[in-house]
Amino acid sequence: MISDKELMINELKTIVEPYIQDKEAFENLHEETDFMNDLKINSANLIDVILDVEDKYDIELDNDSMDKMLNIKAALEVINAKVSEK
Amino acid sequence: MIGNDIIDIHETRTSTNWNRAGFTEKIFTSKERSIIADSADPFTAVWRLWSMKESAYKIFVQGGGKPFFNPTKLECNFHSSKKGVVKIDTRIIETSTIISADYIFSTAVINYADIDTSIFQLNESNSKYQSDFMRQQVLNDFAVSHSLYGGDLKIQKTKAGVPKIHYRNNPLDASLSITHHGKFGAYSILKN
Repeated sequence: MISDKELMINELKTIVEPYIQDKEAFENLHEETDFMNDLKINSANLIDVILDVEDKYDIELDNDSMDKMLNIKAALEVINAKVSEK
Repeated sequence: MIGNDIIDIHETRTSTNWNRAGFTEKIFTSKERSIIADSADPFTAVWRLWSMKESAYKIFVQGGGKPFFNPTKLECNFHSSKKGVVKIDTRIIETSTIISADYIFSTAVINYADIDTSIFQLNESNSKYQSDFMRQQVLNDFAVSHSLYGGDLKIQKTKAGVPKIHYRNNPLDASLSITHHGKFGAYSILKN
């Protein structure tokens, strides 16, 4: 059985896929994978990722949350915190 | 210090939809959004503002500022069709932007001196290739202009991710910024 965390990582993978520019880093994606430095997502497309995450989980990411979302692990933490506030 | 940012207009048209709901609110302050709304060419205004922010942000990080991802923390203002300023906290950084049919290119400087800028058309879209190509161009041109042996030069990033030219493994004072996007790349070196 796959865990909730693995499930969420897979959901995030689907969200970021259209914007990645490093296929190898994407295929080896793990918790420490950095959106900009590893996946080479450009900063404008990182805004798309944030908006897609908002739509997917029906949450609002304020500027402070955005600022924290540097890698997969941080994104999971931010999303979980926002979802639990609902 | 110097920071630059190039935006390939054709690439941006296909890869980013700035009209997407919520997009401009995440990036721009209300003042900037009114600049865009009042502009005859909102597309160009959006990406000029964006490239100004990116170039100023590079200076902020070069100056030891803590990296962040919150574009609304930088607020831009246009002073003319080329010149502008970006405010980060209490800091004001001046920028200059070139807008062609193919790209928008902004340069931000602190302590203005002679700037050596070159813009290139790139043949491959691979990000790693572009980065390597741009670094090689910087080193080739720097070697020629400073009468140095190219093999003694290399580019290394500082811990904060700022590229520096090294001569025989010692970092040089010259401030450098490299950018690439879509089919275009550029470097800027501030001459000391």
